[in-house]
Amino acid sequence: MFPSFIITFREFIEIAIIISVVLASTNGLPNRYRLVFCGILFGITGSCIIALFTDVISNFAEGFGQELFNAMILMAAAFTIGWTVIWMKSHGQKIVTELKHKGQEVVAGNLPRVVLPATIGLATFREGSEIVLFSYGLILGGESMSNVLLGSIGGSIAGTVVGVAMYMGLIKISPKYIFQVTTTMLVLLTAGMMSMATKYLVSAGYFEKTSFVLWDSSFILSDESFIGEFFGILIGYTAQPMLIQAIVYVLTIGIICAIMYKSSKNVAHTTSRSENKHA
Amino acid sequence: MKKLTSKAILFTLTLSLGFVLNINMSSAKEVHIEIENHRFTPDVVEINEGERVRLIIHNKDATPEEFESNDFHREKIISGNSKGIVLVGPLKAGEYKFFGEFHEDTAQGKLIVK
Repeated sequence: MFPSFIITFREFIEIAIIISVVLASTNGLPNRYRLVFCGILFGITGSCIIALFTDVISNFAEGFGQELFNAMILMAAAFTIGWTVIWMKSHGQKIVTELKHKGQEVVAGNLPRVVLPATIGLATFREGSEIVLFSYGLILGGESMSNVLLGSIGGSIAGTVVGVAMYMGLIKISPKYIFQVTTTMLVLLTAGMMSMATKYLVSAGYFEKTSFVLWDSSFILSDESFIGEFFGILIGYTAQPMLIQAIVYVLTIGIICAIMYKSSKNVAHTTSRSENKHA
Repeated sequence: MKKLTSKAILFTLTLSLGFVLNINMSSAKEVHIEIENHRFTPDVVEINEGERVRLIIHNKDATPEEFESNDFHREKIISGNSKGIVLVGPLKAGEYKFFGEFHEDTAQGKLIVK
């Protein structure tokens, strides 16, 4: 039961962190719990399918199908979250100027609903399939089904508790700052995912020339510690970053910020033009 | 919205071009490792500094294992009775541990880079 608990807990925390940050950032989206439920169902189904096809996936691309697949899922998740951030920033400006309404709630209320289940599903697939395969292996190896089930349910509950704690902490932030805080967190989350995707691509043989490690900060915070893993997901921390990872990380932040800045300028320009017309 | 979508497509295309231009799968030396009864054989592998090596992991157990290393940053799930390929290197001299995440108590090994 213990191994099942520990592995489920560790994988689940990664999922829980992503979901809680995204949820805190989209407070105001109607029917959230239904969307979250759909997302979780989508995630579980996807994880089982991926687990089933592990061999087929692996054998693609001269044996590196798994790495490419993981990289694609991470990039898809990064894209979805990045898109959400940009959407909220550009529409936020419009709503603030048009309706003089402030607040993340109003902005989030207009988000395309599919964002929530899509993000949750994508975030769940990779880790979820590991949990499925591990549990399947335990059962094949003779462990009793009930033990494995107990362990994994316990692990998922524990992981969820961490996620909920984070969520509770986040939504307590005053309405004045919540938008900036959650935007920053989402951007870093996205950059971290792109950096992780890059790591998988390096594993598959890409970017050999830029795959050397820049520094080793394990003495400050190790990747294997709980806090290290936590920040690994939250901001993409890695104790031994490769050059290409650093490039992708900075590039991702730069591109998202550039697009956000341009779309807020566009809105301001359009608004001032229409204001001049009315004057 | 249209502007954002076209920017996204441009971004993806640029990235894909970058990936294609960066492919460098030079021929590499092969080292075979077996997993049996959740143990690695051999559990110590020696390679040279700066070398690129293909670790071919044969999982002889019926259950899946996740070959993983925090030291040389690789992870790969290998189904039961299957094999998986893990590319390592170029690495600096030193000792790098690897393990089987699903059976960490017995599946332990290390890579020695000279």
